[in-house]
Formats: sequence, C-alpha cells, structure tokens
Amino acid sequence: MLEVENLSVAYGKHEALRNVALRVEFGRTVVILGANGAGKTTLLNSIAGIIRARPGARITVDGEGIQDEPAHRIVERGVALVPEGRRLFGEMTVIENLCMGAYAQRARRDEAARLDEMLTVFPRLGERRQQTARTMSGGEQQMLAIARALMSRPRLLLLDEPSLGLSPRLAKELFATLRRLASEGQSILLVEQAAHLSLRLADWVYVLENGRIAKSGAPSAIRDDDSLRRSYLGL
Amino acid sequence: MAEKPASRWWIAPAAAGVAFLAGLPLLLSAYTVSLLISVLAYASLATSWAFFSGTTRYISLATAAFVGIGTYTVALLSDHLPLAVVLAIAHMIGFVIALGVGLSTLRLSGIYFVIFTFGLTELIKQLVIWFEINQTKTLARYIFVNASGTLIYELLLATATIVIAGVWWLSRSRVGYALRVIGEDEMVARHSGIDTTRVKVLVFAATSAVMSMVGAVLSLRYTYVDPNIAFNSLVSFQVLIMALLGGIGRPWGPALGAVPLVLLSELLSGTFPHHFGIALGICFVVIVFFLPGGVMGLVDRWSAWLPRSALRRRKES
Repeated sequence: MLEVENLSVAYGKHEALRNVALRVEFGRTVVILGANGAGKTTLLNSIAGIIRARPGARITVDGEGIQDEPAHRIVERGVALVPEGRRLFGEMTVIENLCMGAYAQRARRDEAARLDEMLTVFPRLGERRQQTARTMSGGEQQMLAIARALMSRPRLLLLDEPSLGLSPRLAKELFATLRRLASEGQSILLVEQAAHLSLRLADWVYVLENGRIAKSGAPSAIRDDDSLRRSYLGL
Repeated sequence: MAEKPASRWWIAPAAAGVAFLAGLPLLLSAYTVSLLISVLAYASLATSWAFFSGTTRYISLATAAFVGIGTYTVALLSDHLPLAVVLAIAHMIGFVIALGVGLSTLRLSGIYFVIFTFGLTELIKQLVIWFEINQTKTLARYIFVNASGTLIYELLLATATIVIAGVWWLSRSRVGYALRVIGEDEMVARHSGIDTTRVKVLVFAATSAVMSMVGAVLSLRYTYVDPNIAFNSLVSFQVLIMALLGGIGRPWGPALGAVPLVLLSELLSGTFPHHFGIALGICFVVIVFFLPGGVMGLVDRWSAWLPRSALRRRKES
C-alpha cells in the first residue's frame, strides 16, 4: 500500500537520504533498523510530508503519489505518524489529545465511537481521561501518542522509535501492543534501534545505513547476517 | 470534538450587563464616557490579539499597524462616504492586508515573526508618510465626522461584545483547539491533520480586521491625525501587556486586563505626563514577574485556596 522510490533528502549540503526505496504491503509490519543519524527520522518525516524530498522521489499510497502533498492532506490519505519523543500536547488532557488526533476529516464522523474503542484498547488511558498529558509516565505517554495517531483511523501507522526512553519492561509492553494492532490488520512501518524486539514483530526488515538501504530481508535472514548481528544485536 | 457541555447560566446576566453598559452614557459625564471608550477599545484589541498571539505563540507587534490602517481609512474616506461604509471598508482593508502579511510571514517562527511585525508598523507608517508628502502634499489630516461620544461608545461596546463572545465561542470550537495545538507543537498539529497555514492566516486576518475596525472607530474622537499618531508602536506593547495582565488562557482575561491599565494610563498621564513610559515599563516587569498567569491565573490560585468558595464549586459542577 505504501511504495517509496528514489527518495533523496538533503539538509543543505548534507545528504540525509539517498535513493531510498521500500514498500509496505497492506496488513504487514515493516521495520527499519538503523543507528543514530542513519536517516530514520528523516525517512518517516518525508513520508509524512513534513520534510520535502528532492525532485524525482516518488511516494505512493495505493498507487497515488503523495510526495508533493502537505502533511495534513497525507493524514487524510490514511497515513498517521507517532513522532519521535512522543510530542504530546503536554498541557492538554488525555481526552483532548485523543480528540486532536481525530481532527482530520476522515476521522470526524465516528469520532466518539473511535474514542471509546481507543479507551478500551488502552485501558490505562481510560483511567486517566482528564489527566494532563505532561504529568503521565513515559510508558503512558507513549501509549497516548500511539492512540492519538490511531484516532484518525490510519491505514498505515508510522512509528518513530517508540521504545526510546522506556524501561525494558515498558518497551516489551509496548511491543505487545503493537503486535496486537498488527494482528488486527493494522499496517505498520516502524523505525527502531531496539533490534531484538522489532525483529520479532517484523514481517520484513530494511537496514538503513548512512542514508541508504544497506540490506533488506525477512527477519530470520537479518538475524543470521553476521555483520548485522555485530552492529545491531550486540552478539 | 468532544466538548464538555458548557453551563449557560451566565448568558442572561451577561446580556443584562451589556444592556446596562449600553445605557451608561445616559448616566455618566462626558469625561467618564471617554474613559470607558478607551477601556472598550483596548478590551477589543487585547482580546483579539490574545486569541491569535496568545494561543499560537506567534507574538505580533503589528497591532499598531492595523489600528493605524483603520484610523487612516477614516481620515482619507470620511469626507466622501457615509460612516457605516467607511467602517466596513476599514475592516476589509485590515483583513486583506493581514491576509497578505500572514501568507508571506507566518512561516517565520519565534523571534523573526516578532521582529517582522514590529517592522511592519514602521514600514506602513513610512509608506503613508511618503504617500502623503509626495502624492497629496499634506502630512496632517483633519477628521470632520459628526460623531458624539455616545455613538463612539456604543459602536465600541458592540465591537467588544461581538469580539469577546466570538472568541469565547471560537475557543471551544475546532478552530480554538487547532490554535492551541499550533501553540503547543506546530509540527504535530500538521500530523494531526490540521492545515496550520490556513488556520493561522485566517485567524490572523480576522483578528487584525477587528483591530482596524477599532482604530477606525477610535479615530472619530480625533479631529487631527498624522502618521505618528495613527501608527503609534506603543499601542502594540500596551495591548500585549493588557493581555498578559488579564491572562491569555481565557476568552475574557485580556479584556479584564484592559480595565486597570487604561485607568492606570489615564492616572499616570494626568499625574506624570513625562514619566508615563517609565511607569508602564515598571508595570510590565511587575506583571511578568508576579503574575505569570495574569489576573485570571491569580483567581484560580485563590479559588484553590478557598476549598468551599462558590467560584470553585461552579468550576467543578
């Protein structure tokens, strides 16, 4: 459903991404592994329309090009991003954060039903409806960030290092949630450094190095690759 | 948007209050009415300023520019057209200019936007001066509109009522949420599906149009106007201080902030006409240091201290 071809992004003279190509099939979970500075966030931000790619790039959702569309139109196409570092609306309550996630036209009609659904999927949020987002724990904040993105009923969910700053236990809980979403048919594009956890979740893996796709394959193949084992799995 | 069902108990008292205010000129001296005119004008300015700048945190110092545009529209057109038409034109010119300014500058962020809006006032003033000197060969204009203090007062009361009610209503709508979210994290606002450029530009234009309208009505008080009077940067700062004093988190906060500062300005300019700027500067420092949430923030803190107070019970119900 998502296809990226020939994606290059530069910040001034620094080339952050070069000729990246990848695809996410409907209902699948695709993981992009990469170290700090490999271009992971840039990649997600350019898909989400926050960063403009160089001319020649092609990003399509169900065959329709979105590379020139502004971020809010891309949300309407069914692509939602959980940004790096959660970026909640700190002064707003849990409910208000969720409602902001349903701002898009596509989400307005059955916003109330979706809200109930999210509070059931994430019961912790249901207990804390009126709590100010900034006062919640890191794990709860990450759940809220994901629920906020899901409020727009995205067909594809982009997640930028959701495990960042979480304890190992909370990270595990987080991945269990992602696994459940995936099993319910949610298409996911996940960018991570936590290789062990993400490889267990992935249907397909890309490895991003210095702005290029260095390798791609099924998780088992990536796990067996010696150089990758050293770089990402610490084995 | 999931909104709390608003309690509407205050609508009747508010309407009665407006009716009472509308009747006041019958009871008061001309001097008091002219003082109230300033209060109403600044209440509208501070409310509309805070609705855009307070929520989005795009701090605009262009208030004086839009007020001046309104003033000059009256100065140029009032001899030729009926008053109502002139006021409508002032409103429209403010809107259109703000639309252009917004489209070209709202992608500037933080300090650059502040400086730009400050420069804009000066730029427009210089353009008017240039136009007057080179094209019309006059640097001062007389305004011959037969408007009584009562008429000006009623016009400004209507403006203030519409602005405060409009801001109250809009701040609970989708637009209000969008503005708040833009203030908190503009990038995520875009990820949430908000067309941030459109929201910012339209609200900036609408609030600027109010400023031009207020400037136009206020100019009916003057008999003489020149660019330095019309485009007075101090107005931008005064409005900002009023909004901060009143508290920008609520629809009626900025309007409340206008009352003490207008009275204070009147007192200071009467008593120490030459030290007015110093006194105003001291007020600014005091407000920022001691009242970060404005007067409304203070009310909140007090009501938290008085657990059984009526204010608090009302808030919770």
